Order: sequence, then structure tokens, then C-alpha cells
Amino acid sequence: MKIRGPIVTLGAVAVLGIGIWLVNVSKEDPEPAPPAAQATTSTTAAPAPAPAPPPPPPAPAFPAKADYVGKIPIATGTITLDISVEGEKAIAYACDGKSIETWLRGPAVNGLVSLASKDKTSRLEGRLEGDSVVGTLWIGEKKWDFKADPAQPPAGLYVYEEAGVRSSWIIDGEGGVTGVQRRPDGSTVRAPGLSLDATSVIDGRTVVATRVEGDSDV
Amino acid sequence: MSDPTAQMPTQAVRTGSSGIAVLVTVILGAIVAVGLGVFGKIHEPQFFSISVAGFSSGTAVKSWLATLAVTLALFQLASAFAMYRLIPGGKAPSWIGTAHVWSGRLAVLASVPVAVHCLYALGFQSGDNRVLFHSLFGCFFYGAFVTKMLLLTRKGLRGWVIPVAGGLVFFGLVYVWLTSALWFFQTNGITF
Repeated sequence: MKIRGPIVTLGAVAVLGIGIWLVNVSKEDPEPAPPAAQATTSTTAAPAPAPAPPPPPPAPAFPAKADYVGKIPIATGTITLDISVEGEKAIAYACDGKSIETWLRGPAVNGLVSLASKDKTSRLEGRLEGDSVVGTLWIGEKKWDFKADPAQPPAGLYVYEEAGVRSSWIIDGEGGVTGVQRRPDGSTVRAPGLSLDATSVIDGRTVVATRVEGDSDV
Repeated sequence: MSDPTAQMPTQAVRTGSSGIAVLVTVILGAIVAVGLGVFGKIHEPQFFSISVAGFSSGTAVKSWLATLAVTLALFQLASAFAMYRLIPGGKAPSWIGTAHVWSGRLAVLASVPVAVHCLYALGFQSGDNRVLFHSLFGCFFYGAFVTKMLLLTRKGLRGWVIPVAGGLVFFGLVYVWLTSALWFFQTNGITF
């Protein structure tokens, strides 16, 4: 066995890891680095490796993973909306904490989300504007404009289903919880409370709700 | 890479100190594992990391890179068995050692972008058991890997030390894969 080989391997792993990390960190700041070396030193410098092709114009794009939460005042209360984007898929849930609820899903590409419920009675069209998603939500005959702002975990969508009873919750950016429980007969009531650690007491038993993200199959 | 003179000092001090040498490598590996975990916990998740073009999502890229690493790791296991003459058929082919080294390098390098994405975009999390164990095994894997690499630089170890270390690295990677890529493929289907 070679003596230096393993050290080379360790070094390669460290260099690759740190390198990718630094590229990530450099992307944190959207301000592009000035391409100084390219323009000014070309007269004498030896031919540098071909510069990477210029990045495409900054099209609005969703983060790899994000949750957006918005509140829509309606005649009978407030509808809370959470849009969870992961990759190129989004899933959204809207409910009023009493009886209205709808799950929507669909693609999220180029800063646009276009979602619909399974039975097509609800839909949502939204676009990225700054860091927020603005758009329109249709439920049945009604429609509302909304603005949903980015929210960090534990904010997001949670669901727990057992014996045909589905409880769905939104935790908003301030830690507020809104949820609706759907019974097997299709009736809807206010969902039991949900703690910020995603546990809920349903019929006297403590259960753990599943966090739902854009890519989830709910 | 083969530098025979580099072996001399190590060989000179090997006797009697092999236990301490093993202890030192294990401690260094533990520092790496705990350090990664602490770092992943402290660093604020960015929910974003550079990705590879051509895949549907960052998670898909990670799952496939992890699967590549596990596939190479399976070859690692097989080639290690051959090197220790544990497979029927007697002598191992002469190239098996080199193949073992390079498949291992490729495996761990394939895992690095995945791990950076995990640490950078998500961090050490304990939301549910799958995520908790994935985080723990992920840190354990790199700690065990560091220990194994450092052990390889030591001479005069007891015969079982390297196989045990290699086995732990393999175990760590397989469990990392089971708690992530397999879960991804089960919930999303085999997607690219």
C-alpha cells in the first residue's frame, strides 16, 4: 500500500468540498465579481483558460426550496395560504381554519407557479416578485389576489392522515397555526392544534405531522 | 505517489505505538465527524446550493451521485474481500489493489458535492427519524473515512484494524444512502 495515496485522497476530498462550498458562498451575494482580469491584463498574460460562458440574464427563479406564506382577508375571516416550492414542483395549501381548505399542486418554473387542485375546482397562478410570490387564488366561484412572503422553517405545510381523517396545517412566519381537518364523509372542521415541533394531539393521542414540501406526493 | 522513503520513519517507530496510532486516528476521525455535525447545526441553512445541469432537481442530482458512490462502495467491499483472499478462487488479480484505491477515491469524491449541499443548504437536522439518522450517519461517514485514510498511512497495525475501519466507512455510506437516496426514489420514483 502506498503511504502518500490516502493523504492525497484526503486532500482531494477537502479541496473539492471547500471549493464547492466557496462557490456556494460566492453565489450568496448576487453582486457579480468584477471581471477585471479578463479585460485589462489580456495584452501580456499567457492565454488563460477559457472563461466560463457569461451567465444568462438573471431570469427570476425560485430557490431550490422555499416556503411562501400569505394571508387573504375574506368576508368570513382569513384564508392562510402556503406555497412550498422544491425544485421545479410546488404544492400549496389554503384554508381558513374553519371549513374552507384546498390542496393545489403543479409546476414552478422561471419564477411562475401554476397550481390546481385534484378536482380542478381550485387553482392558483403566481409569480415571483422580489422575494415574494404574488398572484391569484381561485376556490370554487370565488377568487382573491394574494401576496405570499418567504417564511423559514418551522413555517410551512404539515399534514397527518389516519383512517380517512386528514388534518392539514400551515405554520406561518410568526409561528401562528391555521388548520382544517377533513373527515371521511367530506365534512371539514377546525383542525386540532399543532405544536411548532409538528406534534398534535388527535383524539387523545400525540401524533407527529409530516412536513410537506414542493416535491412531496400528498 | 509511491514514495518508498516516506515509509522509513513510520516503520522505525511502529512497534509498540500501533495502539496509540489507532487511537489518534480514531480521535481525529471523531473530531471531523463531530465538527461536521456542529458546523451543520450552527450554519444557517441557505436552502440553495449549486446544482448540476440536466437533472430535474437538486435532490435528484444528490440521489444519483449518492447512488454512484454506493455502487462504487459495493465494488470496494468486493475488491477488499479479494485483497484479503476471502473470495473463492485463491489469488486476487494484481490490479485489484489499484482498482480498490481508485474506486474508493471516486466514491468519496462523488459524495462530496452531496455532502456540501446537505451541509450548506440544509444543515444538521433532526425533524424526523430518517432525517436525524441521515445527519448522524453522514457525519459518521466522513469521520470514519478520515480515520481509515490515516490508518492506511500507518504500518504495523494489527490485521483486523483496516478491515474494521473500511467496514465502518462502508456501513456509514450505505446507511446514508438508505436514509436519503433510497427514500427519494421510493417517494418520487426513479427520476433523473
